[in-house]
Amino acid sequence: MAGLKDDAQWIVLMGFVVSFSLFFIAIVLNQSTVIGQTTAEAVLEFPKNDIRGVRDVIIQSEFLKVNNIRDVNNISNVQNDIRTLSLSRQNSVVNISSTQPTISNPYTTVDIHYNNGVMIYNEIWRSK
Amino acid sequence: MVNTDGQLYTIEGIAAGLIMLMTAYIVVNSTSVYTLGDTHISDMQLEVLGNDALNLMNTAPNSTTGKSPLQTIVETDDAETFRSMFLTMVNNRAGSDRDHIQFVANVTYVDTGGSVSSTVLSDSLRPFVSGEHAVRVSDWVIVEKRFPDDSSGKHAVLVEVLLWRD
Amino acid sequence: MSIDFLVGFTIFMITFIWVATLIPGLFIGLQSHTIDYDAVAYRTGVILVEDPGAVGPLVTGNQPWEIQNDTRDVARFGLAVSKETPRILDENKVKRFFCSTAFSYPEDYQKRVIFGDYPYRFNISLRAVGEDTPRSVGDVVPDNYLFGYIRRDVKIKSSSNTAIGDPTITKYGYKNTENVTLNEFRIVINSSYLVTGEVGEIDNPNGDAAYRINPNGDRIIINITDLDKTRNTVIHPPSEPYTVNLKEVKFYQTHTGDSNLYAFSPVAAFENYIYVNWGTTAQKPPVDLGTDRNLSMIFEPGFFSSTDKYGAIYINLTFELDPKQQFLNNTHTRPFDYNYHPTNVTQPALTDAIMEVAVW
Repeated sequence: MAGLKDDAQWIVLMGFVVSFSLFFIAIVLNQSTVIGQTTAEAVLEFPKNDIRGVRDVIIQSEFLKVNNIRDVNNISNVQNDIRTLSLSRQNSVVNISSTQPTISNPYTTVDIHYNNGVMIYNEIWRSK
Repeated sequence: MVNTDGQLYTIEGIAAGLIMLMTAYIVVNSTSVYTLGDTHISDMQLEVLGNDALNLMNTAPNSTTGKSPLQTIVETDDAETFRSMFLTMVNNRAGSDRDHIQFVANVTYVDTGGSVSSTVLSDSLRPFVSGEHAVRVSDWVIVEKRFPDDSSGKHAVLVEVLLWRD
Repeated sequence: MSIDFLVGFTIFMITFIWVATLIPGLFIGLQSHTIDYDAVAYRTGVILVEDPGAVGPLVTGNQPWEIQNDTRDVARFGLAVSKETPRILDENKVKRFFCSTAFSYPEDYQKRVIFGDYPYRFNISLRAVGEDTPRSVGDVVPDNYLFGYIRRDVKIKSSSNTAIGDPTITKYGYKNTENVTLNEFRIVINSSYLVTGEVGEIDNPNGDAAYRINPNGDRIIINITDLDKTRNTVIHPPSEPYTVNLKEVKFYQTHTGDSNLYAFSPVAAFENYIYVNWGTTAQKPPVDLGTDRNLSMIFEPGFFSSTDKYGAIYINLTFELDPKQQFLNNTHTRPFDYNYHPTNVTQPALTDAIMEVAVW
């Protein structure tokens, strides 16, 4: 190889230059398209409305009344329905427990646990 | 005439060309080109709208009527009212023109035996064919009715709506 | 120049040109900026519809943004009544948000609701069902290129109001039995009860903000009609001329755990709040009730913002009669209660509306 001249190596160099610029363009492109993509997917995948819905209905169920007295039977019916339906239709495990107001603590608290395998949501809701 | 020096430029040219081609091939393959359909933006918009409509139907119009329209609709199995309310809500726009969203709504309930089943509540009179790109939204309703029969007691049911644009 | 060089260089150039033609193909995904714009539109929609907004750090107390006089105290727009009630918009926030004299497009809106460094252009429209033209802020939506878009269904919560007319006056016995010159009529707005008590038939304490009357931030309208009917027409027949003046209106408040009354007067911006005989000019007392003898008091949002949220507000109206006679007076009965009873007060109602956000 000693006899070879290296006059022509600039062509290879040009090749490299073009290749590198292509890589840079590719990196920039990848970054920019990802923004909108991830937002839409995050909105679709994050179960915001499922959590809000189940949270609302649980709190609503805690305040079912019959003749102004806490309707214990219906509350347990409704909350059982919520557990069963969220497991079968929203693939989520929902746990509910609550404490009723006493003289020393005049607030109703509702303990809500939601887990769909990807997202876990826990809340201790307290009445005003 | 024939010596190895003669192909020096040619060989370098081919080499440079090959490098560029290889890079282009790799870059084109690795940069996935997103179109609007790939990004699920229209799905996201449809889901947001469906959730809005269903949730607002489940909101009482004022504090003197304790029941929401959706509660009454589910209790009385009123397909017609659901259809007109829901279509108005999802298809109304800020301008005067209207959108073209279709839907099928189901009520999912736990029956007396403890198993989960569904019944059709309402639809937009347009059959759902498998080619449609649909999204599912749902909301909870506490009703004074037990599906499928009418025995008393309060129960939670899930109103599920499939929405698509045609 | 040898043939060798020409061949090598040609091969290089041909491949280079071929590769160069591939590059525009890479940009297809970028041609529609809507991917990013849709995300901004979605975010703007969520902020407006699901967030109650925020005030700047200089604002003391628990005051909402829509009653801030200085627009610099508004940190973030958000039209929701509360964060527990997404999709329920407050009428007062909506009015302030679309007020083009208070805020100017685009700067004021960009840093309070659109966010981001890029100077997005946008259009936000809100149309209540039944109205023909939407309220709108921003540029005209372009029709020649794509833009980011989101549509939200919402409900707008209206203000409460009361009409104290003959039925109410008769029901609660608000007619005086003595002939006096000065007749006092008292109205109580029990903030503590309005803010924390049960709201009508709404059982769910999590969503009841949508129906609450909040004296600190809401508009409160009190109409008093049928004043003529409170006179004793046996002693003073309707044909007999008489004059009636609303001599003064006094405001008192109580504080939590303190039953003493503390007087306060409206700030200068709100000192005209009385409308006589369905007129359009606001006046301050004393006011001559003229011949129709109807009276409206419109307390704009923020009128009671300085009062104790967990206290009560008393409004004492003094009517001066000539000649002295029986008139609207509840000195010997109880003050009129502005509460959640539909017989006393027309409750806040929710009306459907559609919001559209376009960003480009």
